[in-house]
Amino acid sequence: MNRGSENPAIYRTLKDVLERQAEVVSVWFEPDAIQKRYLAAEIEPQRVVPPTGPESPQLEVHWKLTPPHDEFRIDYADPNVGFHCGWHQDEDHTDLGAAHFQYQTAWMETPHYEGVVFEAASPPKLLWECCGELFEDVVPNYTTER
Amino acid sequence: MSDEPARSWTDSLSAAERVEAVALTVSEPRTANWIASEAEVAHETATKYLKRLTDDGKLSSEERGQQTTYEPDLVGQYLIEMRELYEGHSPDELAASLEDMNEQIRTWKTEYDVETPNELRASLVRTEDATDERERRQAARKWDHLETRRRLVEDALRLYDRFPGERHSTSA
Repeated sequence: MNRGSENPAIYRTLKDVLERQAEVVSVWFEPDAIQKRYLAAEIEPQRVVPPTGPESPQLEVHWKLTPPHDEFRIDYADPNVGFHCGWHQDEDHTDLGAAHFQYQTAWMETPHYEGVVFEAASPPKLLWECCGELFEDVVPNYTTER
Repeated sequence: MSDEPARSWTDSLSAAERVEAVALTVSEPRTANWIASEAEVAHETATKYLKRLTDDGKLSSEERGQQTTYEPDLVGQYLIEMRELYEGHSPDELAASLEDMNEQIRTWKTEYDVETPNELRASLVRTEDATDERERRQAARKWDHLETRRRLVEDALRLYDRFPGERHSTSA
């Protein structure tokens, strides 16, 4: 593929991955399906562990295919408990490596950052890996402890 | 543990779905072995589905010595996207979104006093503020994306002139 040309299959494929997560209610393009700047997903508050609410947490996925390393941001925010976290592979915090994980709880003054290495190499599998970690480890562990 | 929802990549997507998802999102040509490993399928299974995707025009393949590599077929992907824009949106919706994108691009041109995303990237060397640098980099990336989407929408709008009265489905 020519460098710089965009592959519209990327967001179509990632939308499908998000729609298959048990916690996800709906997925849409922002600001609309014509511009397709990024993906947003509504999370069912009662399906996450521990359950939250009344507002729905939201997931956002930005992705750009830039060989050899894609640029992406996968962000989760729960407004009910003031928690947000994300996996980012961009030019921020390059001292931590190519990609980093960050999170901030309501009782933290600044976000915590740490380097992260993924097993997956392709965008759909990598998003799958992050969703698994988010709902099985991150949310249960970071939204209950103090 | 049988009441646990399916969480694994291999339980939730079929072999064919995994091969297609991986193959359509590679950013550089990849071998069947690479795609098979990432999709967690046998080499023969990957080869079978990759051939089908190539026959359908979704992937293009290239012989490189002993190896065949696969990548998304740009024309095939363009046609899928064009059909989606044309069938999923009215001309008014497309035109309104086009105007939004043009307005956003005009705003960047004025705000950063540049004409193209690459000129904006070139301006990064002149800024010493980390926040400003980050914003400029992100704006350049969004700008690239909007330029691509803008061309697609312009092409979709031309289909209405070419095939007046042919559009079958309409968006809600």
